[in-house]
Amino acid sequence: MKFVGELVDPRGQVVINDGALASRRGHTQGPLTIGFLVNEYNPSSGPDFTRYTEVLEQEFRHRLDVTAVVRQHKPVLSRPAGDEMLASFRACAGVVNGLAK
Amino acid sequence: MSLITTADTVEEWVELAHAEGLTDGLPVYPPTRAAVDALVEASGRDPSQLLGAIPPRGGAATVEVVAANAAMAGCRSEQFEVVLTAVEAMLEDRFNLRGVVTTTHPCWPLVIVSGPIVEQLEMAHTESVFSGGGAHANAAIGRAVKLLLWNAGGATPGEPVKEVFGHPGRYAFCVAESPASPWPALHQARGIDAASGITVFACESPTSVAMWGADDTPVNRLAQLSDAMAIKGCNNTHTMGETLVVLTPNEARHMAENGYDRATVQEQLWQQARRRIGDLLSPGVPPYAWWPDWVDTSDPDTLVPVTERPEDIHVMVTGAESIPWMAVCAGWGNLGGYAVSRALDG
Repeated sequence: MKFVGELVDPRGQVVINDGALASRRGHTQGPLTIGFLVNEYNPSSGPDFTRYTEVLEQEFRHRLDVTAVVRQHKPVLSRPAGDEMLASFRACAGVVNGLAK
Repeated sequence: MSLITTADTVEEWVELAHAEGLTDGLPVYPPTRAAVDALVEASGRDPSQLLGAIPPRGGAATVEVVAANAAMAGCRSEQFEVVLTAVEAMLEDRFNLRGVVTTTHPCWPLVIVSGPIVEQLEMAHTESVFSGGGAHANAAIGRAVKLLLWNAGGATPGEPVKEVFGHPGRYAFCVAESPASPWPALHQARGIDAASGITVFACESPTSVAMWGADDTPVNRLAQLSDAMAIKGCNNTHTMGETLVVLTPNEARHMAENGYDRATVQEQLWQQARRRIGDLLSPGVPPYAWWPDWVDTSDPDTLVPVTERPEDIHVMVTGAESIPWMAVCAGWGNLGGYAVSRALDG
């Protein structure tokens, strides 16, 4: 069977997210506050990212002038953190996100 | 709109579509300009109207792009509005489409069509309803949704989809509620004031619950169903969220004849579909953070319901008029995929 004609792309143009990025301080001069956003409070299986952030915290304090840490746990790992939780990181020089398992 | 490829024959197109990654293994129709325009025109919408970006890839689901995928699925003009409405519903934030599509869990958006439009579109609602029932509309609508999520959303196995086992509904997952239900249509029960409507809900394939050993009293029939709703390892059992139960038309009528409306069924299931906390957690495993505060996690004999509220147990009527039978389609738990209902014309 022969057909002739244009075919329409079913994939659609990728929509670019124009949301503002968090401000970049551009330096590692202390004293710094670092944030950790962990995906799950007490995982029953898989990696324990809370423990991972504790190890990272020690490294940051040792290598950089990190003097304070903000640590938050999302109540539901599959959903974005809420506005209030995100606001708690506003004073941080950087935030480390927990990975999904 | 763009010219993506050329093919001189349909056969050539079928192989090209596979090579280009535009299908999941099943053959697809070519999304010709004529076919796409016909669907767009039937919708009465502007082809450039943006429904939203389909996660995780973020492809823009304009009416035209949805029509292209619907054309590939073999959708007919009169079916297209159902597809558009279902996509709009899935794009609501509470549905968490990104999570539903990419999760390790075997769930997929089920499109439930209810009301007079079921018969207008000649949708199947009796035997084999969850496998399409042999009806063009069930298959085409479910397939159109799948292809959109595949092509615009980039929902391909491995990367980024991490689904461990898979779900047969990922080929096509659309059912119709029975016109023979004794209760209001599902979308109406959920507050949509329209004769016809759709409900999308991310769920597993149906788990069959035959009435072996159960007498014909509603309470014992529902007890049988409750047991299947609260199995260990089910996301609802461990995290709550929403779930879907399915009653055949004759089972629903039997309930109604005994004074049960949908709310009564929901309440009774909510009371019965529970699991002892001590049975759910191995020694040393702490209780889950997403159970509400009124669940006494300090007592191992606490019976935890599979949903936080009775109304989170969605009750649908469909399937064959046959021997006593029910089913449960477990949800994704408290991670998303929550039911969203919308009105349809017709």
